[in-house]
Amino acid sequence: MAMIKKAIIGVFFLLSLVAKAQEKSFNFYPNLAVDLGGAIPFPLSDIPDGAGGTPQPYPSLGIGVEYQLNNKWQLGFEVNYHLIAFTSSADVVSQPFYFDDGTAQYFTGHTEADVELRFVEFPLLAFYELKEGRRFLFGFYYSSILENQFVTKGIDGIYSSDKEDTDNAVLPGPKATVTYNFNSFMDHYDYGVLIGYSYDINSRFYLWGRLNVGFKSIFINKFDNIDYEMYQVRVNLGVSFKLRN
Amino acid sequence: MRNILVLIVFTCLFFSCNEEKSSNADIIDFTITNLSNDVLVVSDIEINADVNKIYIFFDNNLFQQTFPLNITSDIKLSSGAKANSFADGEIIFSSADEVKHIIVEAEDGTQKDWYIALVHKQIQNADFENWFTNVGMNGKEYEEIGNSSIGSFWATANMATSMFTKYGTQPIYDGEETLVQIKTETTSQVPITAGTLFTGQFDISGAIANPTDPKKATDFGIPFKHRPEAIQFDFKYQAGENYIQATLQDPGNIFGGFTIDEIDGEDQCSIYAILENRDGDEIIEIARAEMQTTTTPDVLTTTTVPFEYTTDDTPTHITVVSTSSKDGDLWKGAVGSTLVIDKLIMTY
Repeated sequence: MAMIKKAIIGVFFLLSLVAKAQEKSFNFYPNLAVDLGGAIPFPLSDIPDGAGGTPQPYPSLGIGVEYQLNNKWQLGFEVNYHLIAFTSSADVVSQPFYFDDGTAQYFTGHTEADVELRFVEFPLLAFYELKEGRRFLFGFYYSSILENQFVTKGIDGIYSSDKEDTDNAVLPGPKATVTYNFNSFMDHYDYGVLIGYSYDINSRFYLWGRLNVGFKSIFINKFDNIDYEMYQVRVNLGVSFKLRN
Repeated sequence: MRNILVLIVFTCLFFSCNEEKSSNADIIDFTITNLSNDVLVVSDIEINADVNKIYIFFDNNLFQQTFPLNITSDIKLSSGAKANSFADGEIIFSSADEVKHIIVEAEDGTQKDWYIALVHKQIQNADFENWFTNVGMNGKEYEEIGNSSIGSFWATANMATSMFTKYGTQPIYDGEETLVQIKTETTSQVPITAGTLFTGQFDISGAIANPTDPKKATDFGIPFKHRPEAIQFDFKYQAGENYIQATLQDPGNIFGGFTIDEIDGEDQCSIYAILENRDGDEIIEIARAEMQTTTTPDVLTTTTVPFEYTTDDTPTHITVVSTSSKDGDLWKGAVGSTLVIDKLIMTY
């Protein structure tokens, strides 16, 4: 409910700016884009050798408004709806899952993870015109996560409370899938920075690409059952349409 | 006319080139044409494609019969499929507890494992003599009930607790006899893990996916079509010293740890059997025989527990469960509680 309030406030804020857009300094634009990305472990050294990920492209929709500060600079604010999803796989050795009492279970074998996040993002942007029709952009964002999923599976591996067993595992292990569902440990907001570039196709349409990097782990603070944090990293490629020249 | 013929030939070629080979590797019919033992009466044959098993139901107690038993059968497979054994239909069982394994290969090479088991007036391996060496989640060997990892009518939770190198249900030996010891253990993460032995299947993936709900790891029940008067077994029980209730600190989160409270009273073992009629999702309980007890004298005692019937229906399944802590699935019990059980039979 709090998220819906935020979205409504954001939309009303934009609409009020649209009204202002009668003035020359404001311009209103809808966005249509494609997201590619997900979450990566940090520190990066925690990514196992040979690990791979497959981001699934999903469209994102949004609206935004920009304000012309001067000939070179514009400010923008947007409300965008995103769905990002990716699958990853890795062969791990003695990957620990910690329990709150300090004990651990270890897994050696093949792992697969499915991650999905649906969220509304509120980016605040600054555009700098490099030359006519080409702009560098940067800014920061806050996003409110509506729905999230993080399920990781260990497949046909060795699973033990004794690290020595998993250090010396002979694979494959028993035919079984160890499934950990971390959905309830995922946080409901994120914030971070973005940088990008936009290119005007004509006076109304412009293409853009952005790299968004989250500064906050996708997990809640008290979740310390795995060794590393995970941060949102995604590429957003889209097109916007200025409502007036 | 010639053009029409050419068209027909090309059409036939087109369809023959596009015909895909079947991946079906099923046994679609199984009939018995001859038995080596004239006394035996086959009451039914059931092909369960969900678990790839064929059950041959007898109106006899096979433990009283002479083996080997030669069954001549007519096995019908999916179109284009072939069986790697028993192609001539001759199946020889060396004991009532034996489960035969057939690999059926589909036209496209897909293989499927099928099993043939004998179901009679007693439960397979109910004297608990047969155990095999299995490999646990921790990669180490342990003893598991049955002849092999497939086809056993009995199951334990040993695979789940193997990740802690704990095995709640183990064979113990008394001369030539093999008995079962079922023990309530503790692990580094779960304060109470009651040992259990039951008819059905243990689902290790279900156990790990639902660590806060132990019942989701069990698939109770095996085919059974008789109406016994009672269940009889030899047993003894020693309750553990500290009777405790463990409670998840964060319900639904196995990572969050447990609080442990000592409680009044004494742990109890539970041995029960339920006869059911199952028709799809509809399950009707027909009869129940149930026994719970605290510590008994330290000698095996033969006990008979009568079934209390509530309907006249014929059962399709029987569930027999033995556990060293009757409320172990609720993390209530005493570590060290030990149930020893042997020679479980149905009386008629």
